[in-house]
Amino acid sequence: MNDDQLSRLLKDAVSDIEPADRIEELRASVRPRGRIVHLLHARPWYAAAGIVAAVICLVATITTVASNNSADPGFAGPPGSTRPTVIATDTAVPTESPTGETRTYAVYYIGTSPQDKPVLYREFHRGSAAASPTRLAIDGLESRPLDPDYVTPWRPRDIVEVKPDLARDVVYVSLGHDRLEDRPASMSPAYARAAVQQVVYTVQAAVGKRLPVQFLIAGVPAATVLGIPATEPIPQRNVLQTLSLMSISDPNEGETVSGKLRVRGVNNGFEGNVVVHLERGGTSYLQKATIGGWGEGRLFPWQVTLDVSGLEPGTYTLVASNDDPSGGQEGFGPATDTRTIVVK
Amino acid sequence: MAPRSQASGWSADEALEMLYAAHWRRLVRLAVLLVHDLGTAEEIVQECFVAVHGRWSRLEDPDKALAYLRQSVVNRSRSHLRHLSVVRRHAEREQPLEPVPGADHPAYELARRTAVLAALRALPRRQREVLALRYYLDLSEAEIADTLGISRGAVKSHASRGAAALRERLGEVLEESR
Repeated sequence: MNDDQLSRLLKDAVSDIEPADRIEELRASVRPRGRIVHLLHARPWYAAAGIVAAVICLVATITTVASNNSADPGFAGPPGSTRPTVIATDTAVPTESPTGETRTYAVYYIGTSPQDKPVLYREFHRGSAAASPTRLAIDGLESRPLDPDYVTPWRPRDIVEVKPDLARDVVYVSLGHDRLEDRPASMSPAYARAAVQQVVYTVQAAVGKRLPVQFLIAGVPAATVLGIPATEPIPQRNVLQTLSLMSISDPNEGETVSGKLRVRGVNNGFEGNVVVHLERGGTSYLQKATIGGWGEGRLFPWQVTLDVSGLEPGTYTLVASNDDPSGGQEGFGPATDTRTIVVK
Repeated sequence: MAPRSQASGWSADEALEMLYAAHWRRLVRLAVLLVHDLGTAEEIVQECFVAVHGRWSRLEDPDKALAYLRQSVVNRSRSHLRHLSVVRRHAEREQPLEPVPGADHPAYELARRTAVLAALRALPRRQREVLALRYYLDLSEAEIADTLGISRGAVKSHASRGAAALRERLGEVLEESR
């Protein structure tokens, strides 16, 4: 390992760390007592944010692994294609082991984009540390998502084993029955592609490597999975065509919050702008803007802190959207993700 | 993104805004390498910015201010770790679901990042500081010596021992990260 490699490793290790914006607190703490505001002298927030965004892009350029598969046949789910009709069964999310040791793991679920295409959203779940990451991945795929806006077509025992083979650079995913080779009549081709990629992204997260997935049925490669050709290992598809361009990482669905609520997520949208607000009964509260990222073949982390202490207790919808430069006049509207949260 | 040096006509408030815009994220990340906790890192760096604002009339120069900021981040991180070894913070371990940091598309990079942070954490304090300044901030030996208030010879020996230890711990990770 040479100096360059060490340098890359250290930079990469913190490349996704997204500090909260504390400029307001800083301004307040250096403000002389008795003097009220000096915003006239302050740089506007977006100027600072722009510079910071430039810094992220730079870091991103250095650390991003180039996005792959430009040769993909495209993600041509027609707008307005049929909504997914396969709904998750009600298997419980994995719970803590008796010892209480838990681990956090990522699972991708299917939701819809503003264009009404199926896209993947990521949720973080907590499972027993005693279970293997691949077992947790299977349980996650076959469990109901926390967010009711998402679905999973995978039912218990559809996936029986996930096994990485590092010597062959592939992950084997064994399916429980051959009915999964065909696409059900009620499922659109776009949804089927998303379902296959849901497995690819989730098992890659579990094994910690971006390896292609070879689906097996009874120990031999499946010809197709949900109608998608599968004789060869299936690689991860282009991020921007597969994942939602806006995804909230935390808080989780249904979480009870108070005081300062840190909201984190990833996006890729016009000029990187992210707008976050809470909604209740048609009224919007605490709107806040921040910068994630735009361009390149990846999603960019963002973060805002909302002070919910002044809000009336109750259930709110947390909404995070990309910027829509047309102001809703054109196109399908910006990519959006939501969470239901309870303000204490 | 770096403040222009001819801009030393800034008021303390203006300097704070510019320094914040240019260095907040990077310094918080530096602090994360040193203390391994984002919330703590933010606190530490925020205090450093307040301190630099208070000293602006003596610094007057963005480059000096940056050197001062770096130095205070390292010093305050060190005090924090010392404090932490006395008072164990259970509360922070009990936070709700901590998402995998950042999370651009694949969460698979997490394993590597976690391994790097853990390896760094396991090093003696001086080695960790020297490596963070050298490989994260790309400082020269002389700059590191100034920041830490130690000789260049000491920087060299901490750097080589630290790098060797990291290589040993991270050999496998590195192999996997192509």
